[in-house]
Amino acid sequence: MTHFSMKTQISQEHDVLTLRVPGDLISTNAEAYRTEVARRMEGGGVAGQDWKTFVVDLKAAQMVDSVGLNLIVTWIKWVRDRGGKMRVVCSGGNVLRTFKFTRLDKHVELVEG
Amino acid sequence: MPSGRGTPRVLVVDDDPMCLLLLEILLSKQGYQVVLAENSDAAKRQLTLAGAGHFDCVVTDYRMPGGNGLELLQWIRAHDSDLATIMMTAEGERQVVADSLRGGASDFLDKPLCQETLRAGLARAIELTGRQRRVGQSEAAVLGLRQAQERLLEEVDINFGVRRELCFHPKQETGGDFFNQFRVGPNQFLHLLTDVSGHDLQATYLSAYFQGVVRGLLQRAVPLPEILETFNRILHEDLCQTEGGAGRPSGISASVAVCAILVDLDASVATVWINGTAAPTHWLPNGEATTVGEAGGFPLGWFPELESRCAVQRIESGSAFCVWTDGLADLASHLKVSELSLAWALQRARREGVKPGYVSQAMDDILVADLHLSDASAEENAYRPLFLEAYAGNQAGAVDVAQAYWRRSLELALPELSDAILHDVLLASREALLNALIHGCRTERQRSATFAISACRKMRTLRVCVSDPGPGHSFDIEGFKHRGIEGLVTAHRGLILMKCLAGSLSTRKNGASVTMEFAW
Repeated sequence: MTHFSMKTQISQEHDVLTLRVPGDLISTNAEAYRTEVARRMEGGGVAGQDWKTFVVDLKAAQMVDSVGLNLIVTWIKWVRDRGGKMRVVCSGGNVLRTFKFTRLDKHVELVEG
Repeated sequence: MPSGRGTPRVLVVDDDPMCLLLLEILLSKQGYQVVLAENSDAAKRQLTLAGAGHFDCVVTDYRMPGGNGLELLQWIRAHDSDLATIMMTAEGERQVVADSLRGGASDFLDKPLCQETLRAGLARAIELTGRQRRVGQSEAAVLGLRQAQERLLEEVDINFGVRRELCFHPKQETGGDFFNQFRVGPNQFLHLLTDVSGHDLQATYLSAYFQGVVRGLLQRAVPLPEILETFNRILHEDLCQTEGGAGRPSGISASVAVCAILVDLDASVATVWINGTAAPTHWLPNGEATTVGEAGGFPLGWFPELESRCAVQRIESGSAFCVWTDGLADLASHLKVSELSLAWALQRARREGVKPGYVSQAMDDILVADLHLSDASAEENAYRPLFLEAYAGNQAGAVDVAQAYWRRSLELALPELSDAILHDVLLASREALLNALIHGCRTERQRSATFAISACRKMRTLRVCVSDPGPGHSFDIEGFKHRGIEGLVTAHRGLILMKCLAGSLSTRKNGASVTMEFAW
């Protein structure tokens, strides 16, 4: 199980902004991710730069729970408000099934990586 | 001359007739019964004819035609390993001495022989033979005891209408854990699990003695609480004498933890007395489990006044109990798994004739006893509990720790679960528990949610039940199941997730109690 002690990585290449989540996205770390991402993207950092696609890289995650999904929904809305597109990359298996179960795959581009 | 079973018998082997004659005279004078052999082959014939255990010592020359002393020594080690052998060597044959000692010779003598050295060496060798034989007999007795204990615990099944299944792993060859059944009425059966402190012969003996005392007193219609009081008094008085040093030099100084379950089929109740053991778990065929009574209290022998923890459990056809000695609790804690899942895994391994490797990590004897009020075929279709936990309302932050604990336990008890099923069970359980703690218990420490998992191997189904003391909710899971979750609040997303992950989901108490099933 991964906790937020492992730092997220945010990088931009051309017009693609990528957030790499280093482990599970679950109730015990989602709030920390929310705060960290908001701080780095809205508090200066990369927020002012041009990007059209926001990629959430969940390849290292084995589990995304309802609080993690809540955060994903928040980011979906946030990206929509900025006229961008959102893509979620996962390693398949359980995380992919969770997105399909909950129909979030209809709202984001879901890619197996 | 050492005393023992009579005149010690010494076999002397040498190809030199003068030496043989000299040794015969010397040793006979010292009171030994002497048998002579002129070479290695003759010695082997004598030893074979007399049989293992006949001679008390062999004194053999090293240099002999045919086979030398070292070769004879190896033969003796193979045929009568407790028999001490003294090697006679010429002065300065250091390599022979070294090889002889390495080969198992108890001593060596330089030729020409010194009478006093011979006397002392022979006495030591005969004493060594006696000691080794006594050790061998003790080991054989312990082994026999263990086999008897295992047979009594695992094979002798007296069908009293309450079927038992026992799993026993002593820390050493024998142990003080024991289980017994007694008929105390036409449809009343007493089940007694005992754990005597220590893992040795004394513990085994004391355990057997206690079982005998109970049987005798029960036959005289003495009530169980009175029997426990009596045994407590005996042990406590003995312990006081031992500790005080004024009594016998070596008292029992042992205690006995006891869990007694009296099953009354006519009244459909089971009464449980607990003195220093875990509390038994009772469950119904649907997997609904309860802990009967409260674990702990004090074993018999600690204090003059006995305080048994007593509880009554309603039973019905298909009811079952599981109880264990503290060795299981210790091992479960070491492995960081639930006690029920470890009990399941051990019973399962026993049925499959396997001794799991992790048992070697146990620090104490382990005895697990299952009692079934149903026949074996009905039990196959029943659910057996793997978890029965309570989580305080303020423990939502520790859900990762709980989840890791569930994972280890499930992997131990049901290694056949696929990664996908395990993920679904863990995620749905996590959601259910978080909902229960945050909404049902309002994160208050004084409130708690119950969490239980049971499984039926025959139906390959796992059942998760989570209940909280809250008012429940009015959210229509079925209605929202197919609409996706993007417009929902987090709590409702959790419910939808549970609904999607589980094969079936049902609720009671307006949703405050949820049951999910997973097929594997």
